[in-house]
Amino acid sequence: MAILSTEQTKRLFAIHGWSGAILGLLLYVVALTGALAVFAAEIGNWANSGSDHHDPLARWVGVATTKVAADIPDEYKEEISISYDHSGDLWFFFHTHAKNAAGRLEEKGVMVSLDTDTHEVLSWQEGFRSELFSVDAADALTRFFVDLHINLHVPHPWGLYLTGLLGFVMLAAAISGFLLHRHFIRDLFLAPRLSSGLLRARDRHILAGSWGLLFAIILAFTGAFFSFATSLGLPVVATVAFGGDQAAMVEAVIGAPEAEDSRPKLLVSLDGVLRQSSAMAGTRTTFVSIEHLGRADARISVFHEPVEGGFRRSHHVFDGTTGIFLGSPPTLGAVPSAGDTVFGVMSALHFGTFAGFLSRMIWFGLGLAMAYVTVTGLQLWLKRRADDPAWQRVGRLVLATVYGLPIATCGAALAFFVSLPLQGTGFWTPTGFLISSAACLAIAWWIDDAHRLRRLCRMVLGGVLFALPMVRFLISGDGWIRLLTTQNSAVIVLDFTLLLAGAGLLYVTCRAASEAPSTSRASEAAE
Amino acid sequence: MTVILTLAAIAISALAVAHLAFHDPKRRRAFSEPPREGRPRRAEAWTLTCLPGVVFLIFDQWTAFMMWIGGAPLVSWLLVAQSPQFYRWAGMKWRSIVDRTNKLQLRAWLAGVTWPRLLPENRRWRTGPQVTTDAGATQRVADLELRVAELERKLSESSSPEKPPVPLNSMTRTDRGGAR
Repeated sequence: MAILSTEQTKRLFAIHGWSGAILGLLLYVVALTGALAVFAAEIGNWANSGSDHHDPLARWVGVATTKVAADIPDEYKEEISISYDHSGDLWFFFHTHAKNAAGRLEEKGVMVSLDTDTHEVLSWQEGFRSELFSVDAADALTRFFVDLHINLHVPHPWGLYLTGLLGFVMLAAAISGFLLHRHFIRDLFLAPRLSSGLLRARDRHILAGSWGLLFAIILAFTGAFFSFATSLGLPVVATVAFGGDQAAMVEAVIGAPEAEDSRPKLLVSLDGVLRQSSAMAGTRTTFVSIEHLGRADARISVFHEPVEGGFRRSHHVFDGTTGIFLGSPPTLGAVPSAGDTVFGVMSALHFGTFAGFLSRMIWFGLGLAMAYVTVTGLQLWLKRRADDPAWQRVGRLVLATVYGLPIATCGAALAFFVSLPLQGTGFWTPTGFLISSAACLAIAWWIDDAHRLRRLCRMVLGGVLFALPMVRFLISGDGWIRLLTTQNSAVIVLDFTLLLAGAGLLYVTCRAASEAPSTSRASEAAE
Repeated sequence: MTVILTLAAIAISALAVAHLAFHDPKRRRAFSEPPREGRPRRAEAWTLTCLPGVVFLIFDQWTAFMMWIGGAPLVSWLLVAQSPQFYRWAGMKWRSIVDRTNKLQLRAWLAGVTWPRLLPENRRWRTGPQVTTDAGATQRVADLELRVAELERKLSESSSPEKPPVPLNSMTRTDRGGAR
C-alpha cells in the first residue's frame, strides 16, 4: 500500500517478523484466552452446571446483609462488596484497607458466602483480597482463564507489563504489516492459493491480517492501555503531575471524598433501594457496594448490566440512611467528560460484553481471528526456514503450543470438575493446566515428525472436547432436561458446541489419516 | 431490535463483499476461473458494504455500529477465505442433502401417513416425489453431457492442425529445406 524504499521495507520486515517470532506464542496465548474471557460468565455458569437463580441480588439481600453484618468486626464495616458467583451463591466482602506483606495498600476483611435461598453461611474467611480470591470457589475456572489473559499468571505488576508489551508488539505488527503489504486492496479478495505451501501460508496470513487489521489495532491498543494504565500509567502521572502524591491524583481523577459523618445511623431498607434501582435501570443488578455501614454518611452504589442499545453499565448511588437517589456518577472524574466517554468506549471495544450474546459472539470471533493471524504468521516464518534443523524444533514447539493451549484449557476444566466435589478447585484448576501443558510439550519433544504430532494433537483435542460435557454431567448429575426446566439453556448450548467441535475434529482427523496412505500411493503411482 | 438491525447490516455488507469477491479479477485468475462478463459494479458494491455503518452513525445507533464494524469484516473474511472450489463442493453437498431430505421426507410421509390408506394412492404418491429426485439426477447427467461435449470439442480443436496442410508441389525449395 505504502511506497517504501527497499531499505525501509527490509527494516520493517525485520521488525514485523522478529517481534512476531519472539513473542508470537505469548501473543497467541493472550489472544486465545482473551477470546475465551469474552464468554467468562457463560463458561463459569457451564462449569457449575447452571444456577437456579438468575438474579440473586434481587432475593432479600438486605435481610442477608443485616444477618451477616451482626457477626462482623466493626473495623471491616468500612465498605461492603456484594456479588454472586456462577453457582448463584451470594458473596459478601466486608473490608477495610491495609498494607499487605509486600507493602501495597489492599483490601483486608472477611469474605462470607451464603446460600441465596436459605441464607445459610457456606464459608467464612478472613484475610487480604488476593488471598481470599485464590481460595476454592465456583469461579476458579473462569478466574484462571481471565488471569491468564490479563497477566499470564506472572506476579504483579510484571504480568501487566508483559501483556502491555504484547499489546504494543501486536500494534507494531499490525501497522508494519499494513505498510509492508503493497497490494492491500488488490489482495483483499484472494483466497489462499493451493499452488505451494509457502504461498498458501502467505495468503492465509495476509488475508486474515487484512480483514482483521482494524480490530487488531483496536484490541492491541486498548489491551496495552488497560495493562499499563494501572500498573505504570497512574504512578507515572502521579509522579509527574502530583509530585508522587497518589492520593491527590486519585482525588483529581475520581473526585474529592465527601465529608465524613461518623454518627451511628441505621441503614435504609437495602432491598427497597435495589428494587428502585432495578426499576430505573431496567436490567439485572450485577454488583452492590455499601460504604460506611451503620453511619450517617452511608452510601449505596448499585451497578446494572447495560440497557438495550447502550454499551455502558448503569451505576446508581443512593443515600444509605434515607434511600434518596443521589445520581449516576461517571466512571472517571466527578462530572461527565470526554475522557470518561473515551474510557467507556475503550472498555466496550476491548471487552465486547456490551450487547449480550451477539456482541460476545462477534468479539469471540475477533479474538480467534487475532490468534489465527498470529499462528499463520509463525507458520509463514517457519516455512521460510523449513530446512534449518533449529527452526524445525521451533516448529514442533509452535505446534505443541497451538494445540497445547486448548488441550491444557480443557485439562484445566477437567481438573476443575474432578476437584469440585473435593473442594479443591483453586489448586487443581491451574495444576490440571500445567500437567496438560507439560504433557503436550513432552509429546512434542518425543515425536520428531510434525505431521504425526499434528494428527496426535488433533485427536487428543477432539477427544477432550468431546469428553468435557460428559464429565460435567457425571460430576454434577445435571442432565439437559433438568437444565431446560431450570432455564439454563446456555449450559446445553455450550455442551452441544463442545460435543460438536470434538466430534468434528475427531472425524476430520480420522478421515485425513485414512485418506493419507491412498493419496501417497496415488502420488507414487503417478510418479 | 438492535440485534436484528445488526444482523441485517452484517448480512448486507457480507453480501456486497461476496459480490466483490465473485467479480474480483485476481481471485478469478488465481483459481483459473474465466473472467465475468458485464459490469462488475464495484463502486455500488463498496457503497453497499459501508452503507449500514453510515446509517447507524446518522441515526446514533452506536451499539449496532460497534457490532457491525466488528462483525462485518469477520464474516467477510470467512466468506472470502474459501476458494471457488469450496463453494462448488458445498453447492454439490447442499444439493445432495436436499435430495436425501426429500427422500427421507417421502419415506416418513409414506410410512406415517399414507401406509394405512389405499395401495394405488400409495403408489401414485411414491412415484410423484420420485420424479423430483430423478429430475435432479437428469439435470446432473445433462450437465455432465454438456461438459463432455465441450471437452470433446476442445480436444478436437487442439488435435486438429491450425493451418490446412499445404500441398508439397506448392512449397518453395527453402520451405522444403526448412521442413526437413
